[in-house]
Formats: sequence, C-alpha cells, structure tokens
Amino acid sequence: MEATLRKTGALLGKDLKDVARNPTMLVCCLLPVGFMLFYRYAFADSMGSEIGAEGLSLMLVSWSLLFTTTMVASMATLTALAEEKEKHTLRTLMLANVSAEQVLASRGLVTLAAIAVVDAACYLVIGQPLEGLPAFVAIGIVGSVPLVLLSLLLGLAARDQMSAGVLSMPVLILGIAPMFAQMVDGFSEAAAYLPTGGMNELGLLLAQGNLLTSDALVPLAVTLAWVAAAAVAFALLYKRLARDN
Amino acid sequence: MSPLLSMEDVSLSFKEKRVLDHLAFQVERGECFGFLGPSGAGKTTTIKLLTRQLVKDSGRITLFGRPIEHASNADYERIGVLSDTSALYERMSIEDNLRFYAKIRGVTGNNLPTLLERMNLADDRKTLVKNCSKGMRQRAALLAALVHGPELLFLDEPTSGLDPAARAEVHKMLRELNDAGTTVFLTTHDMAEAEDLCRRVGILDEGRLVACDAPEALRLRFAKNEVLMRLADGRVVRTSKDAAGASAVAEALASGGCLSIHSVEPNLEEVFLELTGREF
Repeated sequence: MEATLRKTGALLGKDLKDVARNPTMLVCCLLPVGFMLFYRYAFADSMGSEIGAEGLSLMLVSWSLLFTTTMVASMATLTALAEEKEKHTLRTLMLANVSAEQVLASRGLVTLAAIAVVDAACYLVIGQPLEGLPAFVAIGIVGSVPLVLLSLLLGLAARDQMSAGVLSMPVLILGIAPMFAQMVDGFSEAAAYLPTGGMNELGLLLAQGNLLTSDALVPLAVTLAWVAAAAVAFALLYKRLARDN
Repeated sequence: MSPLLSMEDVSLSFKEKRVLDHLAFQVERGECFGFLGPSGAGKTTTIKLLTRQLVKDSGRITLFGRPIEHASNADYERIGVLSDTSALYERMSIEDNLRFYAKIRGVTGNNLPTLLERMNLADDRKTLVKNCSKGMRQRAALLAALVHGPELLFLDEPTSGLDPAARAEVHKMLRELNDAGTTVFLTTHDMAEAEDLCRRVGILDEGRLVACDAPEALRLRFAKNEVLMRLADGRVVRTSKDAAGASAVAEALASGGCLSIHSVEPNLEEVFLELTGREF
C-alpha cells in the first residue's frame, strides 16, 4: 500500500507538471476558456438579442461544461497515454515496477483536476454568480468521469498519437452532442441521456437556480448511471487492453 | 545455494513461430552473464520473460529462488531493467527524470550526483532529454535503471548507439557494479563486449541455446589443434599440438630463430560461426 501511494504520488507530480509543459495539453486546457471569453464578449450582442440574456447565460454554462470535459478528457488522458506508449515511456515505467493501475489512476486524477480548474476559469469568465462555483465544479468533475474512463480505455487501445486522434472522435462526438440538442428536432430529450447529458442538465438547473429541486433527480441519476456503466466497462475491458498493449 | 535466476526447458511461440526452444541456463548471484546471439535469436524475448512482459508457454523459470509466477512486487523492486526501448520523458531534464525514478523506487536519490558524474552527464544534468544525443539518452536511461541500487540488472544491448568513449565508461561502470556484488544479465551481439565483461556467456541461435560456458572455456573448446610460430626469417609456421609439433617447436627454439609462439584459439565470434554455421 505504501509503495502504491508513493508511486502514484510520484506519477501525479510528473503528470501535473506535464499539463503545463506539454504545449498541446496546455492549449486544450486554455481553449475552452478562450472560447468562453470569445462567446461572452464577441458574440454577446448578436446572440443576446436573439436568445435573450438568460438564454445566453444558459448556453454559456452548458458550453463551458461540455467543451471542458470533452477537450480536456480527450487530450489530457487519451493523447497523453498514447504519447507515453509511442515514446516507450510507459513500458519503461512498467519495467520500473509501476503498475498500469497506478499510471491510469494518476492520469485520471490529473485529468479531473485539470477539468476542475478549467471549469472554474470558464465559470468566472462567463460571469456567473460566485456562490454557484463549487456546485458547478462538482458537476463538471462528476459528469466528466464517464468520458475520462472511456478516454483511459481508448488511450490503452491507441498505438500512437496518430491513432489516438482517430479514437478521440467518439469522445468528442459523445461529449459535445448535448450542445447540438436544441438545433435538431427531437434530439433534445434523447441528448439528456447521453454520457454528458446529465451533467449538462445539472449545469442548466444550477444556472436557473433550480439545482436543489426534484428536477435535478433525473439528470443526477443519468450522470451516476453513466459513471457506474463506465466503471463496469472499464473493469471489464481494462485487463484485456492493458495486456494486449 | 540456489541460482539467482534459472530457466529450465522454457519454450515460447508466437503463433506458429517457435521463438524460444527448450531454453535452459542458470545465473549465479554476483555473476555477469552474457546472452549472445544475432538479431532475432531470442535475446530480448528472454529478458521479456524474465521481467514479466511475456509469459512462457512451457518450462520453469525461477527468480530469487522462487518460481516466477510467485515472484512478488518486492522481488521486482530488487531488479533494474534497461530494455531495448527504454526511454525517459523528453520534456523533463535528465536530472528530473532520475529524481522521478528515485521517487518511484522509494529512494532518496542522494547518489544521483555520483551517478551523473560517473556517466559524464553531470554537466548536462539540466538538459531536457529531447535535446540530448542518442548516447546521452542511453546513458541516462541506464542510470534510471540503476538509481535504486538493484541486486539484479537486466541490460538489453546497453551500449548500442554509444561512441567508443561512452562505451568504455559504461563497461567500467558495469564492472564496478558487478565487483560490488550486482548480478548482471546482459544481452549483446557484440562479442568483444561479452568477452570483456562476462564471466559466462550463453550463445543463442534461433531460440536455442547452442553453448553456455566461460568465454575462455568456449574458446579453448573450439581451439584448433595448432601452434603458430613466427620465425626470424619472416616465415609463419603452423604446427600441430602433438609430439611432431613439439619437436618442430623445440627445433625452432634451439636454432634461435623463433620470434613468437602462439596457440591458435578462436574469438567468440568464430566460436559462434563454428556453432551455427552463419554470420552475425
């Protein structure tokens, strides 16, 4: 146990520093914040007149959560793991008696930490009331778990960064699908049941001041169901992928 | 005393291809054992079996006196591995990489300045790995495998890509480690390296161990029954190691015209050719 904590701690330190050192990862963390700045200040007038101030606020809350989760999960997890495989640093770690579980735990935790920071930055940028920040970050973290677990599995399956680019497509599509829910007739209700659908709904309820009402029960259940489903899928597929790769 | 590691009748196939064929050898504690053979002979595969990267089809492998299936994580903490693909993090400096591996191994890393000095990397310790030459990367990766002072060291072609000076440094360091009690299991296709470093060598060809002995013993086993004399008149005379040869040698010595006498022994490369009938 002591060795596991020590190794995971060392990996966490290394992976956290890598978020700042790796330009690709840094850009992917800054991009959602940049988008929110852009939408809030460059598009506010034109979009605000179309959908109203409240509509704009809800849209920015929704997009903050979805952009952050998909971009950070796919980059900080999937591409980073693929890079470790491509450059043989993952095998070198394994030969230093580090287990795949320790590597994945570290990557997963760092991704969730990065998501929390980016979510908080986005929330501040879009000008939402400060008292909602902890709840917003909590929704972002819990709602991201399914996509982070999926990205970890795809990261194990990817041979290199090139194949990680292809494999990240389902993560991106699944992750941002709720953004397009309102644009496609009949998709809105279905989108609420996608992996990030529950998180999106909870974010919207928070922005409307209805998070602590019975309306939150279904999206919360959807989110937790996806977390459980992703954890089961991860447990089933992890050993096979870890061995094959 | 049981050997530190052993293989008994170990075989492994990848689909139809048999890559290790009834392999059997032992490595004693404190020994420097060389595993020789051309590319594709099965050297790296053997290291992968011994370091849990692959699982054998049949046979028995023991590590620290226990079947490898029962080797614990604590056993693997006593091992250092430099594989053919060992790599450090490119966006970190050499020193940061080594400190990271020291943390992973649960050691303080107080020995890092000495190790860096020993490998001529002290001046470059702050250099990012992505800016290092291949030789620097190889030496740094070797240090990462040594940072916790392992009892058993697996080295897969540790000097490939190194210039002669760096190669000599690595050889010197390995000799010192071995003298201090570290058991070294070394694969190489460099015969001179094996002769220089190893107490015993195993010669592998197409997954089969075709010979396993001390380099000197192997050379003697395949030595030709000849003595070579260089005479003062410039002639080189080959004579057999028997009574007739003895009288020829005595005659040359008595005449005062003999400059040198050598027995004709093959080097390891010639032993390999003799054993397998092919070239490296």
